[in-house]
Amino acid sequence: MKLSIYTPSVLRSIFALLSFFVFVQCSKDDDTPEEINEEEVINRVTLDITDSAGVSTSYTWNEGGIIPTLNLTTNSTYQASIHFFDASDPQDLEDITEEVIEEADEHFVFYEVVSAAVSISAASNDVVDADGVSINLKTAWTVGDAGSGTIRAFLIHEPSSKSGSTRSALGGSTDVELDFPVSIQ
Amino acid sequence: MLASASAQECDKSIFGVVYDLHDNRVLEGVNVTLVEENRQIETLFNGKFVFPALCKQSYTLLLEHIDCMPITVKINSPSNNLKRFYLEHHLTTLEEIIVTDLAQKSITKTGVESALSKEEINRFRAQNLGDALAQLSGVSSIKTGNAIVKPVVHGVSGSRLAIVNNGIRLQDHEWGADHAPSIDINGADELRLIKGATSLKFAGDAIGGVLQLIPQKHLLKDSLLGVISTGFQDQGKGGFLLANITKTFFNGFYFGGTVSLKNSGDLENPNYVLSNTGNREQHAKVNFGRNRITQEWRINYSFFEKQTGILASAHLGSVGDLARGIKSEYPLVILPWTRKLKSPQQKITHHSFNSQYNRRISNHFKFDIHYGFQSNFRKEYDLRRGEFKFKPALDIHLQTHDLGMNMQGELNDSFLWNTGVSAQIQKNFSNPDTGIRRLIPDYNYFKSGVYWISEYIPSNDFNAELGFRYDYNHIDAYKFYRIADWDTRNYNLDFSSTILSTSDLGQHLTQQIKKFGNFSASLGLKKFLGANTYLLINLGYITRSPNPAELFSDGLHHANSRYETGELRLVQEKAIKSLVSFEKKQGKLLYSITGYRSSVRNYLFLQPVGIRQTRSISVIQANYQQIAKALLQGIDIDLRYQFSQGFSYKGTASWLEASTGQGEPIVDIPPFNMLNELLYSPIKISGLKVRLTSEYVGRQNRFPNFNFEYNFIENGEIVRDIVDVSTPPESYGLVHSEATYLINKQWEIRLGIDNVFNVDYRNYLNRLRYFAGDTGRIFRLELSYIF
Repeated sequence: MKLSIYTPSVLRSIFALLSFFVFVQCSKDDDTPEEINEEEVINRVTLDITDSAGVSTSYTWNEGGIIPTLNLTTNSTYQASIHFFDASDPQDLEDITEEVIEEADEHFVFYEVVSAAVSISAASNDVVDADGVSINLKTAWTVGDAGSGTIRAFLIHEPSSKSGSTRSALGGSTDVELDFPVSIQ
Repeated sequence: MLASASAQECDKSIFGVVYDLHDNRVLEGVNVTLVEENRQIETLFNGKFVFPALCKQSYTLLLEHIDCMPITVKINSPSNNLKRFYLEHHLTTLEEIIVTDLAQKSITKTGVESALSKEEINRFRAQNLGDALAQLSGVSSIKTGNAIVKPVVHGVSGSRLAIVNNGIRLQDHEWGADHAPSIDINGADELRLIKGATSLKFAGDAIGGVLQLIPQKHLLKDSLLGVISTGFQDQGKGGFLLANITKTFFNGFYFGGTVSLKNSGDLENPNYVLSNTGNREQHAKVNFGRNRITQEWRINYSFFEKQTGILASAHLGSVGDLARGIKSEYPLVILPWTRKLKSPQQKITHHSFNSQYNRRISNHFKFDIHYGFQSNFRKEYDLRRGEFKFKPALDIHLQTHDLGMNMQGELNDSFLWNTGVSAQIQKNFSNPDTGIRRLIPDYNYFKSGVYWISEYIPSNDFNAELGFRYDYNHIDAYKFYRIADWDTRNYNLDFSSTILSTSDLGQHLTQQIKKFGNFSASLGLKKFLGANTYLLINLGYITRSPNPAELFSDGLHHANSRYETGELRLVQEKAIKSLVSFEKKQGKLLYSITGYRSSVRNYLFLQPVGIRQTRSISVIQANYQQIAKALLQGIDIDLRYQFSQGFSYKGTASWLEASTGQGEPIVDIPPFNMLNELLYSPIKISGLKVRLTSEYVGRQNRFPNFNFEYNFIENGEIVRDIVDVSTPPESYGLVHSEATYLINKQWEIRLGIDNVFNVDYRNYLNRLRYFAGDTGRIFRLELSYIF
């Protein structure tokens, strides 16, 4: 017989295969997955800018919103501090800045100024990392002549260097990159 | 009167075909002796031979083959019917690897196929499966650095290419460009790439073909075989250790095991350290079984674990990082050399259990039944902070059960058939502890398939193969959609009934059930055109249903700063592939030319569509889309020339062009490439082999433009400039060399230099080419003890 398809072992194998199908049909489970609430997001950035008289203005960007224009006065100095928040749940605002401070070694805030007469350096009360390098959460701003421009604020995660003068020189991965328009009058 | 009577009596012939007893492969080059008349003949490519003009008497046939135990067969009275002979082909399995040539290896009769032997695989002990496969013409690799290498065949990879290990298709999230096959090259004894009807046995949706990893065949004798091998390379101060042992018994029982470890630190470009490119791999395999010629069972289990760093400068937060990274000549993160791995990195663990039973009921019918279980864990770590610092950003677990049965038989002398059924259940679980929305949702996947392949051998010089396969795929996924995304895509129009609930967090939980019936067919013809000349023609119709990544992806890929989104409305891809291959051996020259053309309807790909502002950064938005038509066509050339005994040349060249129906180029298509190799094994110094290889990779001149603009800040000014993510890198040429010395067939020393001239190059298909050049010169030293 050429086709020994009725051999018991063949039949047994076919039966095994069929029961597998049945098993598949029966083993459907209905457990629905758990919803994930992403917690480590930064969707609000606040720049608190205090002038020499102690008057503080707060500029806030929210995800999906417009980045506010920073209004500065000519030939003056300011203290600025930047804060990062997870505002996904308005009832439970999470301050990511605290984590940045805790992991100061792995973070760095960097400002690049375009066209405006603003120079920015770390403030004396700034947070420093293990090497004593200020991470620019608190900065001192010196404003010159009238004009307008842009201040690009970065929060950099794991920068390879904290001493460069351009974003490219710092390496790492960018967690925040926002262009704040500046008006100096 | 008398004369005519004797003429009538001597008009018989013995017409036979010789098979390998184990796998029914036809055996070419079997020396058949008709003892009584001292006539000798060799079997042809299809295993056939004929002795005409025989009288009605008994004859003795002696069948001899270099790899087989000779057999003697008594023929009582010759008839004109085709007779089948079976040779035990595995007696010298170990030697087979060295003595076999291309033609003899053929498993498919009409399919086009290329193979890598154990000896060739051994050259890549320290590297990856993808690196070894790239030796074959028509095969390239998509890489993410040096440790993540994914094979590309005829311009397609991932789900369009099936990888079959031990008879079961590998299931390991094969879709992502940075997802390399979870296989250690040291676990493979032979690699075959099958294109044609035979591939339908394993998969119906593989336009690129089936890549088959074949386990070692075992000897029916008491023996202990093995190899212990260790190697070191200067690049990355890397090394490997490999031990493989197989014990076989005369009664057919065997067991074996393999352990392989690899470890490397940061690799280096000629000009800088490629930071965080270290790699760790652990692989172990145990197998045992019993081979009793007419039946065989085997069980094996393998474990594969790989931990690979991703180039530090390739971890991007924002599109600005991508823009700056591309603009910079040097990687933006270069740290001192280290062996340590840190995030970004990926950790893959793959368990595979496999059992198989083969039975030959008669010389005309055999079957096998197999069950496999695979469990694949994939964890990807990004730069994170706070409580998530050490948590993976992606943590998926894919479990797959496979059960299948294959049968082979023959209806008559010139008609053979192969058929089988298979069933698979797969469960994907995305761990919610990552705290990041699932890139791939939880799903259950059920697949069942049935195939039929018939082979028709009407004459000595012609074979035809016709195959069909039908697969039913059923996906049942639970997927969360952000309401904003759901609305943007107008899913409410078609899928509102899939919403199970809507949460306070602004997400719809939906249940997506997708059903696809895929039909594939293949026709293969092989024609013997005269002395050592073959023509093969293959026509295939391939249907592929979209995979879960294409349907449901929803998340950010940090390596390319890209947010990838799947599409529920995707339909099946349908391809018509035609392939013509011509092979000729002419004296010292052996060459083959293969031309192919795939026309794919509803071609699926990931299309960058713009910039997406996600939270405090912007990234590239890329959507899975379908275009009406894609056309892939190319030519592969293989050339071998034996200058003299011990001195030979081998060359391969591949050219490929891929366009949309409108003639626009398709992204990530391998450019023209060419491999030329000189192999010298001096007769006077036995055991020495010197190899000199030159590799040329052209520039891909056909590419789509996905460039976008970005506001760079340069010297205190905003400069709006193009971010060139499209233009391929320049062509390059590399030279590699290698010397092996085998002492007493026991000790082997291998010394290799890759990229001898320390060329700084970038490869179009390396995902990290935007950020850094490829590796420079590599010195390798390996020592093996073979027993």
